[in-house]
Amino acid sequence: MTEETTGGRATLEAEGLRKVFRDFWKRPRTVAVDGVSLRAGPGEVIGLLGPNGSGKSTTIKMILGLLQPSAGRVRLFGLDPSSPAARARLGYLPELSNLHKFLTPRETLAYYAGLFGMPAALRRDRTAALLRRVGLDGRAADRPVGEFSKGMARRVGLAQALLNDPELVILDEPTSGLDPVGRREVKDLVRELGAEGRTVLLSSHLLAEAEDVCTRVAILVDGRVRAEGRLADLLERRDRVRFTAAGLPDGRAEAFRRELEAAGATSVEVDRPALTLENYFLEILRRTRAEEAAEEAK
Amino acid sequence: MRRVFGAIRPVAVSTAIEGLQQPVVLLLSLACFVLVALQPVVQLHTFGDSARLARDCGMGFLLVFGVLVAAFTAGSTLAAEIRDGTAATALAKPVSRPAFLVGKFLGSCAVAAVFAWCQTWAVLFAQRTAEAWVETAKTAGDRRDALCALLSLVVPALALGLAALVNARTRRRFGLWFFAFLAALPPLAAALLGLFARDGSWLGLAGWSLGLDLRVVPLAFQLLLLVAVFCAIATALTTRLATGPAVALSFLVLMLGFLADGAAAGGPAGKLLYALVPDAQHFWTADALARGGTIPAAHTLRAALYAATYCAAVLALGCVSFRKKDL
Repeated sequence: MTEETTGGRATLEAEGLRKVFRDFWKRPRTVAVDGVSLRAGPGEVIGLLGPNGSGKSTTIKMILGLLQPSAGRVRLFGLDPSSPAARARLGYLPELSNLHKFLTPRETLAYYAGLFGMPAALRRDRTAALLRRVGLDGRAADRPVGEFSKGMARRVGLAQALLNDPELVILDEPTSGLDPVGRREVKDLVRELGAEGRTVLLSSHLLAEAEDVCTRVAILVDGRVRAEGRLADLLERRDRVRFTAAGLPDGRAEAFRRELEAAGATSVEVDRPALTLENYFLEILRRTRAEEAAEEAK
Repeated sequence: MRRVFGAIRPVAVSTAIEGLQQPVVLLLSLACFVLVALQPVVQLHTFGDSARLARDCGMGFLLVFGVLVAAFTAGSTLAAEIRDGTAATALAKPVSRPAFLVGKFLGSCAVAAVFAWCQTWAVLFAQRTAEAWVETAKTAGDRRDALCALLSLVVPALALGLAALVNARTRRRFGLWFFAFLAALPPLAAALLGLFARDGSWLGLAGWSLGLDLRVVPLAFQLLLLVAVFCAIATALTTRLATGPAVALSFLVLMLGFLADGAAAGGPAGKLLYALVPDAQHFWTADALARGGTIPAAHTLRAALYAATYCAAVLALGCVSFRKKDL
């Protein structure tokens, strides 16, 4: 990814990252990541895509300074990733929520806020606001996280990742364990973060999810970047044109198809665009809730 | 600098809260309290040494169970956090690895301190239960303080009951409240006991006396220091080893520590061993209390300095080992 695409001011720069895991005798065991370079600027939502074991989480951990790269370098805001100044400006959601099971969501957020050195008043305000934002205010906020479902724990994880109002948000499989409503909320949140000018790096093996929110993607296979670029550029089929119309009377579509073929077009297809299953599901859910509310109002 | 080291407190507090809620820590504390409270009741043929036996056994229990509690907190907390990724989440925040390690150590020490506070009361009660030696023209033997024995068994039972009540009524966490009650009830029980003589007769407010032999307190503190040294060794080892090997190795170092002063008199290997392992004999000074003796404050202070220095050295090595650890 080039400097032009990030507008010159890079939040995240990774060059030639390589990670070789070694055995007890220091012999090379696995090359998890090999020559990965990334660059991201404000307002970009970058998707790190790849199948399981492709090196996404290893790359993220090297970017965070949690794993030492065997080769290559990382800069966050122009700083070393292990520097407290850089870490104070980023939020990280790990692949598994990794929470202390005996702490409640409120205590969990207070704990992480303490690590940021937040003053008590700000800590209380941020904790309350984030618990509301992830839908865990009320009684759930005071139950030990160990009692939570995977999806609820994921919400606590998301809240802790946003605690410091980060400029760079790194989300490792953010929707894992969430129901369709939760997935949609996370996608909306990621879009919102991008729109606010924050840099978001998210890893996923769910392509539809990345397609919905990412502005750019890098596809990792066996630890190497096999394709990267703006999503629109990568997915656009320059040899195809699509028309979408409403209010066309039945039968007229066939006439248009013949007209296009007469104009020299090949492989002309006429179909009706479908909703995504996610949108259909959310629509049914919204309708049911509206009916329930109307019933209750009676 | 303040931001980096300011992280020690939240890490220590969360470690302590987690530790106190571990069911195994609760069970060990409960078992230790009951065993210490019961042992003067089951002693036979003590020939006037029942109080000393109660004290020595109680302190032995405090040390062994304290080390077990430390093994389950210091030995498991960091290893488990590295394994399950909790450490990675915390260390992606502006926290230095040394601050995180020190916070883990202090949190484990806090759990050990709560344990030691509760068990010291158990030893004080056990001593009072066992203390009376009665000689008449026809017979001689121990007369136990039945009220003290009863109260020292009621305390843990009441702590369990009250914690259960708080949990049922308010959903507050059972483990934390159990320890809160187990720490708060013994001083109240001691105040109540002061109203009675050892034979159970009523003294009233005017005749109130504490009636507990507080000379064991410095000894209990020294044992807590030894447990803290164990915590430091276990915490440092878990930066590289899994819980099992780290705890086993920590036990080995502690055992060698009890033999270290003998080894120091030997050849260079013995001297090297003495230099490397903590001299546990500095902390076990129960014999000083025999025949009414006391532990000099200067010794306790020196033991504290020795423990602090040893912990600092071990934790420094732990920090070096943890600095580049892949998480």
